[in-house]
Amino acid sequence: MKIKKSGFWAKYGEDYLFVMPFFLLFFVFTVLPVLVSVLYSFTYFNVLEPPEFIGLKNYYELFIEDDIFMVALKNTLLLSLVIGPAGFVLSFVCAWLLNEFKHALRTVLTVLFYAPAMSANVFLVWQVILSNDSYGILNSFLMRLGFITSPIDWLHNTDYMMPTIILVSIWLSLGTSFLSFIAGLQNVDTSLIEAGAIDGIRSRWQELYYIILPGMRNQLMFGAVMSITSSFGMGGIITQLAGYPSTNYAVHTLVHHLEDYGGMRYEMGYASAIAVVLFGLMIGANSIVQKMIRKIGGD
Amino acid sequence: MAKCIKWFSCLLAAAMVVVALPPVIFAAGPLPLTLGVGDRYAVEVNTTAGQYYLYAEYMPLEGYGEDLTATVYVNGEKLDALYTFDRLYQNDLADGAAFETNPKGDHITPIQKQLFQRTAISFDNEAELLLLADGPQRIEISMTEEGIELYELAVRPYAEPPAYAEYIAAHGGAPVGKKVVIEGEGAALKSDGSLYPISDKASADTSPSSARHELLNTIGGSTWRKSGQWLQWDFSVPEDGLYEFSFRFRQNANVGMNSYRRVFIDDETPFRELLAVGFENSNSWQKQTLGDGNGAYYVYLTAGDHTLKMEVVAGQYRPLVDSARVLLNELNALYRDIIAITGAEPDIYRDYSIKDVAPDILDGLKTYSVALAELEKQLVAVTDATNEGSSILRQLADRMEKMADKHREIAKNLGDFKSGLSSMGTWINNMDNLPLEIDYVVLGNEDGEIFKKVGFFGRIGYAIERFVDTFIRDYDAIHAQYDEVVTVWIGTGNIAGIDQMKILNNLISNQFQDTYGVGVNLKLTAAGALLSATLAGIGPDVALQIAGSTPVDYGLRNALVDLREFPDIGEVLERFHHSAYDPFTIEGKLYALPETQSYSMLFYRKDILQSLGVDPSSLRTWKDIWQGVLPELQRQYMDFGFAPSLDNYLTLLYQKGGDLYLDGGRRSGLATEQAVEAFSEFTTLYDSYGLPIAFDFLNRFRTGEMPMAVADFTVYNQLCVFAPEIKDLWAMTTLPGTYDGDGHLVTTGVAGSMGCVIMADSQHKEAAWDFVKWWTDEQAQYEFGHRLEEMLGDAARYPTANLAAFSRIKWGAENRSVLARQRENIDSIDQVAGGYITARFFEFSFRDVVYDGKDARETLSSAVRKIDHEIALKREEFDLDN
Repeated sequence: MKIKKSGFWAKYGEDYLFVMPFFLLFFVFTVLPVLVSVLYSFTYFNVLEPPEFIGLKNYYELFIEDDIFMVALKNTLLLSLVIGPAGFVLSFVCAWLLNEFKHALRTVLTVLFYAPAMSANVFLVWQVILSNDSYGILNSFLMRLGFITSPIDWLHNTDYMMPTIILVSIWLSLGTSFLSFIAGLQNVDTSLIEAGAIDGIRSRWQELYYIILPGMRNQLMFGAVMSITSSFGMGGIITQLAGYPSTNYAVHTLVHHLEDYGGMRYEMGYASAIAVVLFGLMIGANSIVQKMIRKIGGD
Repeated sequence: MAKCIKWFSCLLAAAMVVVALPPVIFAAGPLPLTLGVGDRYAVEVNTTAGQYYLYAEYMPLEGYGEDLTATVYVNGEKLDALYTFDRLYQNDLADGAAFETNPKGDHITPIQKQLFQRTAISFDNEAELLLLADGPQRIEISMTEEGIELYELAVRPYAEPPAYAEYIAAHGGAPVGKKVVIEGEGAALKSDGSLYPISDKASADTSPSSARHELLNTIGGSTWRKSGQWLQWDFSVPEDGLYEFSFRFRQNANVGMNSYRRVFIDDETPFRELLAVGFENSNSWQKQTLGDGNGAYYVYLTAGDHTLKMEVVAGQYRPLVDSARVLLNELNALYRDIIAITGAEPDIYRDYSIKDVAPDILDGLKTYSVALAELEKQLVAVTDATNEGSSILRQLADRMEKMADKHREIAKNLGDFKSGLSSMGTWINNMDNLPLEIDYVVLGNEDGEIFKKVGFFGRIGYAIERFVDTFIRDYDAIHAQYDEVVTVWIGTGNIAGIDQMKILNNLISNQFQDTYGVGVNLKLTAAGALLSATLAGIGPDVALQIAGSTPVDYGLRNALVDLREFPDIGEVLERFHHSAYDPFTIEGKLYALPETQSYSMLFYRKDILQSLGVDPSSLRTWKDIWQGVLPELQRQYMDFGFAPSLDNYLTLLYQKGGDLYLDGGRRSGLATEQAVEAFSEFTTLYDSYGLPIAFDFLNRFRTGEMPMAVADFTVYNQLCVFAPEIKDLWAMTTLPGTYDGDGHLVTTGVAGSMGCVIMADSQHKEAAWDFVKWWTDEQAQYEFGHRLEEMLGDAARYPTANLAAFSRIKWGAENRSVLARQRENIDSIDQVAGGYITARFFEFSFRDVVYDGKDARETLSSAVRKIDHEIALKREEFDLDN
């Protein structure tokens, strides 16, 4: 039997074939779960028994009755407004500075800067540094110098939790976007820089804004998406450091709220509704940031 | 001839005379006589000056399975050494029978059966010898832990075995070449139930060897390591003559050190060189023929049956370890003297004027530093090289010398001094560890070819065969003979692991499957797998070691079987204290049977309390602690350990008669007057009395910075293993209490348990019920705990919830009684719908009060409103009336 090829398959068939492996994986493990969780968000689902359709009740409770959700939303926005841009800018500045070094040295420094992101649980050193034991590194240091007399519970005292978490997260944010910036900086066409110098670029800042940044717009876009996704998705690190749930929900994020309902209370339907809201937030933030980045280099 | 064998001993012993006087008996009646704990028995003898040893004939009594230790008094004076009578174990197999195999063709590890039969022991190791003067002597023994049936006790003159040169000169005969092989796993008698045959597949040379099957082919290893443990093999030789002894062994655990064994042939050590034979450390199997630089040693044997016995001895390390242990105790005392002046966290820039305040500390530092350096020299002399121990001792000695010289900087060096002490403690602990694994022993030396070898290609073939086998092996074949197979999951983490699984598997195949006609498919799974597997419908029938609120959470969502549906549940529950299964109960339904249960006890350092002049038995209430001991401790810069956990708060609450929930779990009980009172008292401890909120109990207890603390009783085992240098310097006792209105002392403590559940999706509920009944029964729980402890040591002592099994576990008489006394007064943390919220808001409230100085009563009452709200929501979700 011969399969009759239509014009479309004859023309694009091979292309789709090549995309197929990735698309299958992406669909099964990313797209499908998102769709399923949208469906679950309209049900009561306690994980152990079959789900039950309850319409918009989850969303109603989420926005009208759940005051912890508002706390989580506030914390998530605060963390992403500080950590997202700060991490993004810091990544770029580090990449820009590193780019000035000679090749061999640059490679070594890149590895050093990227190392914290590579070794997954390295932030646990902060647990030792910030431990509330009087033998914790920071506490014992401050006590020795006489600034404090009894240990401070950096990670459980609501007065200190947010700043502490923000500092640790910024330290950690030199991740994938940093690497892509390094690559981007090397891709910028040097002839453009020469041409710019002839055309009257007066400073490194002008060169940066008018030539380098527009030249690596794709990498910036990628970096921004990564920063936003990771800052909205913050949860695991906070749990490891500040415990779960954090004191008075002081650093409770949407991801925590989601885990709280999905894992602790076995209310997967409600957790799905939270996930859908989080998903919407990320999409929205991404499109705003992308628009901003497109403006770079304009007048 | 036979008389001549011992000519040398006779020569020495001839000068010493023992005249037995009639025995003096403390326990009633003539020999044979049952000696229980504390019973004494004495013999009176007339001796001439010299070395003697004790000889006894006895039968071990079962008791709790603890060591049969005794103390010995010479003329009323107690000796330091502890005399341990052996227990006897052997494989529980028919005489001469081979190991049993399962349907896969693997050997089944035989049960170790204890023998209760008359046996003899000579206490003639160096530390056990008696040095007696001229004249009448009175030698008394007193059992300390367990009892024996005593048939004979005698004092005999001791003569050291002759040197090899003298021994061989006294024996004629020619070397016999014919080989006799003794397989290590075939040991006929052993001193310890943990010395069962094991399987090695790392080497193709191990005898016997199979790439396809798990054969039991070696013995010993990590369990054969403590002084006094021995193995004995039977063998027979075809003709009279001189035989050499060669061993195929592995000693891969004691890095850089030798493991020593004393060798007995027919219960005698024939010559001095066999008193301590060293086996070197290496990662792989090694071969060694007994001998010295001049060649192999020969032992004269007559044709016929003989025994070979090897006993763990500390060898040349013994005196070093003993003096190191004494030294460490004194150093710890010195450390406490220093922190009595400087505090545990001193200001490094301050001069504490130690030279003026306590000049004896400087002297102590100097003296002990010299002693340490001396000890290091001796150690290097023995081991012929610097090693871990010598560098620990050297560093500590240097540190102390520096502290003594620059006394203004003592505070600065204190941290290093302390960590040096704990490394020294760990090192001493390791020195007592002398493991050895024996594959086989060869007598004779045919054609100089003692050990068989498979060669290079043989090894490659073995590896390939093992690899291929992993593809074709049918793991389910083992259950093929049973109509019904129950799948049981045991989660990793907590106390489960591969060793626990092996022991349980062994128990199941020996004691469950055939009796009940039900196969068990035991699987070790990741802890979080149960939820996803249940969701996907591929969960097990039974899950073990489920902790906390999980049984109730699953039960409320109809994922578990309500065990009250089984008619015989009533008699099954009689095995436990009610607090063990209360947390698995909700709305009258029971979702799990308890496996383990543990609760808090009060730990204290005897030596430190004594030096403070505090009598621990006088501390009966919390008030005694906070107002009596705490100020005294804090004056010396020491702490009391009481973690700010919900458990500890509940201890105070329960003792005041409060409860966590009211109305059958409908409302939080934290709004009651008792709860508020307990909460203010609890938070005051941290914000006014200054108890530490976070601490590492084990380390601080070890150094003495925290000489008293409330901790779970399972910490006892960790302490035994982790801090052997403070052995006998600490104890645990029941919790302090609170007087109620009628003047009764209430000492309630809080207990936590883990249990096993039957899944609602199971197709084999009756078989699963049989299994959990069998598993939580006294015999299975006792044997599991017993074997676990034998395999992994004291740290793995199993806190079974089965009361009868718990009382058989070897806790020692004193601990057993305090644990039993506390168990009469324990209560559990009840589980309710939405119970997770309580712990959360308790934590929030605690921090609000202690960190932010908020009012305890107000904080708690606003938390209660939130808790009640959450409970109401959850009860609505499950259609429970509010």
